[in-house]
This record gives sequence, structure tokens and C-alpha cells, in this order.
Amino acid sequence: MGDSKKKELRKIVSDSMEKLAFMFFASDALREPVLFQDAVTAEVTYTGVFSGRLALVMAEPVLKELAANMLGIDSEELELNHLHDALMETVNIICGNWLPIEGGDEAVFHIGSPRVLSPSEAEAVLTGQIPSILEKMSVDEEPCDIYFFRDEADKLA
Amino acid sequence: MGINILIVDDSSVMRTMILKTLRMSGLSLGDVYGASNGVEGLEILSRQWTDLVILDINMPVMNGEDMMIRMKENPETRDIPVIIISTEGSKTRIEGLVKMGATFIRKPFTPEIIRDAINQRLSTGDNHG
Repeated sequence: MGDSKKKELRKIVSDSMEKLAFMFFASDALREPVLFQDAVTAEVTYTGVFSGRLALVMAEPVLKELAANMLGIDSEELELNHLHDALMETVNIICGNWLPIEGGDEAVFHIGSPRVLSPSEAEAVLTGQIPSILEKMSVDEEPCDIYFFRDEADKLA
Repeated sequence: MGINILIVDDSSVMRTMILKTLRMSGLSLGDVYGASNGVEGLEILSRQWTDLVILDINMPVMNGEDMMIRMKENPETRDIPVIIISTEGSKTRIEGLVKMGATFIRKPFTPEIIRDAINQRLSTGDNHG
């Protein structure tokens, strides 16, 4: 997957975070990927003219700020379900905006329900194959990784 | 009198975000109702006077497309303005919804986009009030 596609995905993530939560994400390509046990992971799978999944792996301080800003409540009032719901909605929005760029705006996709993955499940799901795109970003030095998978069989079709 | 609005979205975070946005928008709000799918949304419409529906597309039980079709079939609800707020990316599907009379807004949105869409829909006189 070329640099231009990575740049487009990065722009969608940046725009989404700014509109959803007034947060400004920047590329952080030189660091190692976030360890799954140090973060919260949510993913959505999609089917259509091709299929695959998109996942966000986000450090908890970033996620708390994201959820607090999205919901308009103080971060001390946040409960675990707020964090999970905010991350799932965010991954859903990013995937929904990304697929028309990847597949063209005439393409029809079905995006499944987002879900939170345990660290061990995230490890198994996201490291079992090579992602089409792995984009490393951060906000205030706290990391967030985006994994995009497009099934190999579909790419060859 | 304020505007009565029904928000139909399966994400509680998104319903909260839309409500927060409505409160920030400066619109004169009446009652704001929430539903997590089309069936719940139609049930609320059957018993509460509603000036505007804000509707997601992809939801379990009954999606936004089917809810809008059911609204159009019912003389009591067919003229209620609908604003679709969704991640839907398919041009074909979006065009179909716009042809049915909906205004389409892609997530993520800004408060200004929501406010302008509501003002536009309510000022064109196509509501059932």
C-alpha cells in the first residue's frame, strides 16, 4: 500500500478526531507499534466489493480525553462503557469514511458492529496477518495506531 | 414553542453527541427523544408530536432506510423532515435517501453543519407543523 493511501487514511483520522473531540492527531511513524496490553483496541469488519477489518489501538489517556470530549463530560465521571462506546463509534466513523476512498464512492459496503477486543484477542487478530496499512499517530505524545486490513483474496480478484 | 426532535441512532455515544450539539446550536429546543433503532423510532413517532427526525442508517432491528420508508407510507409521519447522519459512503445509497426527501450529513459532523441543516429543513416549510 503506497504512501499516498497512508496519507489519505491519516487525514481521515485527523479530521475525524478534530470534529469528534477537538483533538489534533499527528503522524508518529518512527516509534514502535503500541503494545496491546498498554492500550484499548476496537475493530470493525466490513464486507462488500472487498472485505477486511479496521482497528484502532489507543492509549488510555488519549481514549479518556476522546470520550470526555465526545460526551461533553468531565473525565473523572467517565465509566468503562463510555470509553468503549467512544472508541467503537470512532472506529466506525473512520472506517465509514475510509472505505469510499479505498473502494470508490460507487462501491457498497456493509460495516459490521464495532467491538472492543481484549489484549490477547487484539494480538491474535491484528498480528496474525500483515496489515495493508499500519499508521502510527499520536496526540500529546500518547500513541494511537490504526490497522487496516483488506483481504488478500479480494485484492487478487 | 421549541422544536421537538427525535434522534434515532444505535450508538448511545452518538445520541449524546447529537444532543450536546443541539444544545450548543442555539436552536430553541422542545422535547428531544432518543431511540436506538427504527422500530423504537416509529413507536415514539406514533405517540409524540415530532417536528424533525435525525436518523442513522445502519442499525440493528430496523435500519434507517426502512424506518424512512415506513414514515413515508404513513400520512401522519410522511411530511416530517428527516436528516440522515451516518457514516454511509455509498453514493448510490445516499442518493436514494435524498430522493426520498432526506438531508444527508456524513459523520463526523460539526455543530455548525447540524444547526444549518436543521434551520434549512425547518425554514423550507416542509415540516408537518
